[in-house]
Amino acid sequence: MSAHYLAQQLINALSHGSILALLAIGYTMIYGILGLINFAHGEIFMIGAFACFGAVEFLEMSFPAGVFAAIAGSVLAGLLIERFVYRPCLKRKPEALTVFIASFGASLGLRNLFTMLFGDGRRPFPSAGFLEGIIVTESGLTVNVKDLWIFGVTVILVVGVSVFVKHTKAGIAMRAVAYDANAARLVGINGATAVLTAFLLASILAGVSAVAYGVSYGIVTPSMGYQIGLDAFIAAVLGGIGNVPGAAVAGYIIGLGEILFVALLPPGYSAARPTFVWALLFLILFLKPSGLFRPDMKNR
Amino acid sequence: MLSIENMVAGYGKAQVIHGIDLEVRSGEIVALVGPNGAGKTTTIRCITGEIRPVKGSVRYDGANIADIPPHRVASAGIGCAREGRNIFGNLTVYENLAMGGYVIRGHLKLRERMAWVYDLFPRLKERTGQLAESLSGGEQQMLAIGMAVMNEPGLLLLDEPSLGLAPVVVDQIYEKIAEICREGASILLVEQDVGLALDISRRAYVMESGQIRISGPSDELGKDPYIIDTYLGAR
Amino acid sequence: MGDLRKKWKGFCATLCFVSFLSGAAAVAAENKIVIGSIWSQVGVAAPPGQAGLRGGRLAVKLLNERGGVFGRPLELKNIDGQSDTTVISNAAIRLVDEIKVVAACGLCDDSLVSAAGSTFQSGKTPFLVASATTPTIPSIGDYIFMVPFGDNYQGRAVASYCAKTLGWKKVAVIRDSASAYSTELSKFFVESFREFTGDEGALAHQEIYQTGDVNFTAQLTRLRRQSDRQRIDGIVITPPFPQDSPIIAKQARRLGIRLPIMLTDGADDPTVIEVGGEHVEGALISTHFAAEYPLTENAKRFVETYTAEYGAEPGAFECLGFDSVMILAETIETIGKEKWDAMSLSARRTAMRDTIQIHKYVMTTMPISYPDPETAKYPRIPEKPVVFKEIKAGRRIFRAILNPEDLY
Ligand SMILES: Nc1ncnc2c1ncn2[C@@H]1O[C@H](COP(=O)(O)OP(=O)(O)O)[C@@H](O)[C@H]1O
Ligand SMILES: [Mg+2]
Repeated sequence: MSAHYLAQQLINALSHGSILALLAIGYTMIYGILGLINFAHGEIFMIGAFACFGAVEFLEMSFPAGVFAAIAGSVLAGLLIERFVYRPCLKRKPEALTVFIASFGASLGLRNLFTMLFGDGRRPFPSAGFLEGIIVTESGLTVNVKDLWIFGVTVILVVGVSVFVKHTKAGIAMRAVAYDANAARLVGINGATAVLTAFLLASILAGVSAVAYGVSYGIVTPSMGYQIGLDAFIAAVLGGIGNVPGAAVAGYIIGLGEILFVALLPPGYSAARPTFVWALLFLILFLKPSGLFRPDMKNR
Repeated sequence: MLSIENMVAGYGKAQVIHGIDLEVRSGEIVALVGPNGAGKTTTIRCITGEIRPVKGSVRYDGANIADIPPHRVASAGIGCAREGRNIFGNLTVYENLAMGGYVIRGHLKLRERMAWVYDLFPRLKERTGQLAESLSGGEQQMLAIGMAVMNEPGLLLLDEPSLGLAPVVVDQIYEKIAEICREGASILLVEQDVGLALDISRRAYVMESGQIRISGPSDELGKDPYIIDTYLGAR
Repeated sequence: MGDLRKKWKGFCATLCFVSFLSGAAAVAAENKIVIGSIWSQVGVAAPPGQAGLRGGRLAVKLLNERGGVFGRPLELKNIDGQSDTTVISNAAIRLVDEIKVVAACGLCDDSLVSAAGSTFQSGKTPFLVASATTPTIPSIGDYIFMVPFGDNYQGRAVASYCAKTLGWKKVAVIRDSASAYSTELSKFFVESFREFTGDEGALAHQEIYQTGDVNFTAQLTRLRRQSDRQRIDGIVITPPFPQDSPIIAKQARRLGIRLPIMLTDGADDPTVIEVGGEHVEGALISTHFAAEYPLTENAKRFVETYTAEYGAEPGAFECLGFDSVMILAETIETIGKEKWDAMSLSARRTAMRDTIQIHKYVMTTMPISYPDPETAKYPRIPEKPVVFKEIKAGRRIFRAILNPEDLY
């Protein structure tokens, strides 16, 4: 196993890890604040990709405008899901299973809706010239310019959101609501605003993640959020659900883990990659149920 | 300052408060005592807006606050330390106090209030960066009270601040409560330990099964045979 | 509430009325000849499914324009298989037991055919597999026939083209382990490629993925390392559905892998170019049919009418759909009007099977006939030529054709 080979695989994991990291933060924030797993997060991601695709292909916007369209699409989807699925559902103080079904149903429903509207073929995702370059180092490592962009933007966003949650008044308030929404209301924090903030941030990151996915893999499909959403959810658990930087780090760990699983085992094992991620989840829950890092946004 | 008139409240169909009158005047400590399950906490929840009274009025500084949501009651100047140490365990002491002062506008004002609370409870200052869930019971209660007074409330609601604390710690906390009152806040103190409550308060209400059984100046109630029999006998 | 109930009742009444009408229509059209099909319109199998249905519909249209079969209109009843084995399995049951078609066609990929094949076999209803190429499929039973060539044969043709025409000595193979098509075809290819090169080590490297994967960089990086260590002349990918190969090509090019790429018939679809763009330029595809190279007069007419009808040239799956319906129509005509009218449904179905087994078809885009089941290694599969195309300037261009006699 040469260092060169490992280094290339590490580079390969840059964008995949970033996509997972951005998504995992969404799972972790919404779980942190509402105590529910938002299975529809993968569809919020998918809708962002469709928004970018539509804006660039049909409205003939520029690629940067398409990125904003992706963010806008995801945010719209996220806020609508919050408003029309979770808010009415949680108002009735339902059983955990009911929330689970609502969440799963929202995910399935959106996926089916988009399949009905657009068919589930893979469509080509737009890209921009400045992302397409390839850098070959002296030692022969291949680095795609898009990977550097994706990694850079992800790091900035992860740091930004972590600082927001950790140090700003709104961020601390969000964690307070996560811990005890009633107590938070007594000190004057509007719980609904904090929940909306969480959905807003989670959706923005999902939109960016969708663009990263589209640019990396070149496709948009109604089911694109399914597998990657599950992987990101597992990353959120691994990172100590409720912990924003933890989710991001775990996103990279899973991304790299998936790549190394394929890279280090003989080719015949490649197909077991999804199973590997689930095995990892099982192992985490078994060995360290609270994940690798301590949650900041923790329910009482 | 606070006046409750003919208030009826409950949870769903279960009526718990059957029409009570209660008043807190400016600058006084008023005790609300009674056995477990009498409806004291429910009364507090009606004031904070957590539950809406079915009938009657809750007036604060002349305005009816019965129908406004809790996060607005806080900014209206009512601070509350709920039963069972109402703190955010996942935040540091500093962050908890900052949340206590959530409605304060302006950084300077926040600093000033924070300094005041740290003066009141120097223990909290030593623990400023520590997670609230890692504090001792007494420290957590200090933090809860500290948070409730961050916003310089006109009215402070305290629900059983002595619950589960060692007597020495309870004494420390009651000293601080008196100090907060001297600084100008009116206080409605809910307490099961009737003796303790009567000692610190000017007036008191005795609540039983959702009704006010007796009320009056605390020193007089302390001599009332019924009170002595029922609540102070152990002393 | 009362209003809603009223509406509901009205709805039910309308529904009864409509179903009554359609029942009446079915009686009125007793002399219609109904054949069935299962082509997926959504899901991974949608690109070949939609194409197959377009081809099949065109065949029905042409047949009805010239007077149908025995002067009776032919109707094609398609059920959307949704790329889902449960849906496909139910569709087969409906076609056999409810709609009572005389025969049916459609489907692609071995895994999907498996969901329907045994239903047609036990219902003694002939089923023409439109575009799955795994040669073991007809072993389900004597009512199951294939319209395309088998992969034993495609694999050999690709091996011959790579080894003899392109002069490749060492190859890397990428296959989808979730697909029997992909796995079997790559096996057939490797076997023949070793034979043609006379080199047991001609398969230099092999990588595996699974349907639905989007990140192939780990596999491709390993392939690249292998190609740094030893000579590799090209990459053969056997994708069961058109969706994967352009992403693999894209990621390969982005990793700096410049090796030529050979794709198999599962990739003969416009999606490959739409998604792959410049990254699939130069890729070769082995397939069933090229519109610019029609082999027969029928094929020429098929291309012309298809282009007039749909405004685009037909691809391989359109051609296979067209031929499937043509075979069924020609079969019925071969049985003959008098005999046909005298037969019960089950007798018609059996007669169709017997006819398909021996008849030499001429209404199709190329001559199709089935080998003697007693002697053939893989029965109920026609021997047909393999076409090679190249992706050039965003179009699939005809490159070569290999006939059965060129290979053995
Ligand atoms: N959330 C609730 N739902 C229903 N009933 C409640 C709830 N909280 C308290 N109660 C009932 O209301 C009555 C008064 O409770 P509470 O106000 O907590 O009493 P106290 O504070 O005086 O001990 C009790 O009988 C209690 O069982
Ligand atoms: Mg109580």
